[in-house]
Amino acid sequence: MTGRQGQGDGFCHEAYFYVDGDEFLGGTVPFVEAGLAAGETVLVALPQPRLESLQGALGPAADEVAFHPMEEIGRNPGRLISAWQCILQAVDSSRGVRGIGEPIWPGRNADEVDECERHERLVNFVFGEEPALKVMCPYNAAALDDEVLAAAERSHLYSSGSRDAAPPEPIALDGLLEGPLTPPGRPGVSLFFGRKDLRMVRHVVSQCARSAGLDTRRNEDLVLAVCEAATNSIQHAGGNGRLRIWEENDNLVCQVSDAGRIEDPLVGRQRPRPEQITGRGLWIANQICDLVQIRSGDEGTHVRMRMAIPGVAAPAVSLPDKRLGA
Amino acid sequence: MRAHGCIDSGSGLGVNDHACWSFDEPQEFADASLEFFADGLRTGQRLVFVGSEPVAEQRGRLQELGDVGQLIDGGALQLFELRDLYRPGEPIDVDLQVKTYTAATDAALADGFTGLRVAAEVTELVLDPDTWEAHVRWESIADRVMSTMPLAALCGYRGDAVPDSLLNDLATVHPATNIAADEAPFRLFGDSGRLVLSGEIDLFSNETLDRILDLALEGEEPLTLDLGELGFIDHHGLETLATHTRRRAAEGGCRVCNEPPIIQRLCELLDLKL
Repeated sequence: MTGRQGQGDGFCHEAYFYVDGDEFLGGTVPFVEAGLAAGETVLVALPQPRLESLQGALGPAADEVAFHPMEEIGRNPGRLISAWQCILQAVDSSRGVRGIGEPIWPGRNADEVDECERHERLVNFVFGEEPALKVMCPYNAAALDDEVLAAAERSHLYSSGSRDAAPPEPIALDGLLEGPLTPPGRPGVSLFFGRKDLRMVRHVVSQCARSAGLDTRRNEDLVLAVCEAATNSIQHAGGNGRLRIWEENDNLVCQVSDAGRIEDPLVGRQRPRPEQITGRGLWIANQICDLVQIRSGDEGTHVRMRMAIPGVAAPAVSLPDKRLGA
Repeated sequence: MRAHGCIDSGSGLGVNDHACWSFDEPQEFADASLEFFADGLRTGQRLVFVGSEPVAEQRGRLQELGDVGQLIDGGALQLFELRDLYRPGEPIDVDLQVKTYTAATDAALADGFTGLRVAAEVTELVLDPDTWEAHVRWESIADRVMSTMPLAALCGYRGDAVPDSLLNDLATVHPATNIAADEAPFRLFGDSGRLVLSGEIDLFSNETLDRILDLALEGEEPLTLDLGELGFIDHHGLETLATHTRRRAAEGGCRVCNEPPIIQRLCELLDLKL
């Protein structure tokens, strides 16, 4: 069964449900070929096995497509919108652009899936005015939970493929900074910081990163991200905040909390413009951490940043997807 | 590279090191000077002490150095009252001071010493807030001059007579200081013909960075800024740095070298060029 392609002009954001390798290619190959035939720029971000499968199926036409492994570009879903924006800025938009992005695959944990769902809902608002952009998001309907698939239906303008999809509803943008975070693990560190404590915060994060075995570069990245988040607390949330650090499921997690309020659900997700004063710190954190979760409400704001601890099996695509064959 | 960072004693400073020393009691500065001078005696530099007290009292404070009289008679030690060399309350005459110290260093070399080593208690020069900016600029210029000759200096400032903000600025333009890193987290100083930026810069120190770069990057001769000793900088600091290096590049030339990984990372992320 093949999926419907983007219809007519205008921004198009489609969830495509597949149950096996044949159906995956049955939807993605015609989508790519239609774009190439129309002279459009075609971009594909997929987990490595699916990326190779599509490359193989396209044959020589694959040379005209820009491929990006989703494990890198979408490692932290918070960086995906910015990545797409950068790519779009670099291409000739008068030609039309279409992309395939599969941010959720079996094996991504619940927190990553949750962030992907928030990202998908935001895509409609960030790119909704791009008349010449069509995006297809494949979902493995055989292996992903029904809740994940239902959320995908809700966050895309329409769905296709083998799932019996409910009719699309208007996409809700509220609540994107709401929702609980899992309770913090047993903290190795829990401290309050003020204006004069950033140096101490950096020292503590660096020590924890060293103990967890992060290499120098990832250590420095995490220190930078946490310092940027703590700086925000000092600048925008009354001059102080709280830092908690713990290890959880082979990740080192740093959470910066304060009494401030963030209103913009797109905070940190778009590449800062030169004249932009605020929002750079969280954008930087999104580029360099493996996962960033931002929650904000009346009771305050939490920025939770995660780095995978080395020596553990890479979290992306950890289960072989037997249904897709070789 | 010249000694830089936090020190807790006057010992261990080399032939052209330059340290900012904050103290409360005059004998504290005298003790640090004694440690400083002991190294100078060993390495053969002529010692110069500049203080706000009369010379006779200075002799008393320095008696642990040895036979002070003999050192003075032999030209190995010179004592001055501050008012003999400076005019407290008036703006520092930078050119005159540079000439004076250069000439004194040359004279020491001509007299068979290996250079000049100056311990100066100069609080009186900064009691008037109107003198602060010029004085910080002077220390920065003096530092760069010193980095090219065998002239070492220990600059004493009484902590109870001047505000912390001034002390921190002064510490920033000395390569070494006994002021805690939490108060003065970064340093800008001369070394091997370059201007070195060391330490850590974040929200707390960004405004100081902006001010100090204003003072220190004046002029039109080509400049090289060495960032190899920078341990941390956030994006606010990087933007401040970029503003100044670009302005300086337009005015007379500014090259940046030894960028540490964090600078490279931030420049790449923010598409910034220093």
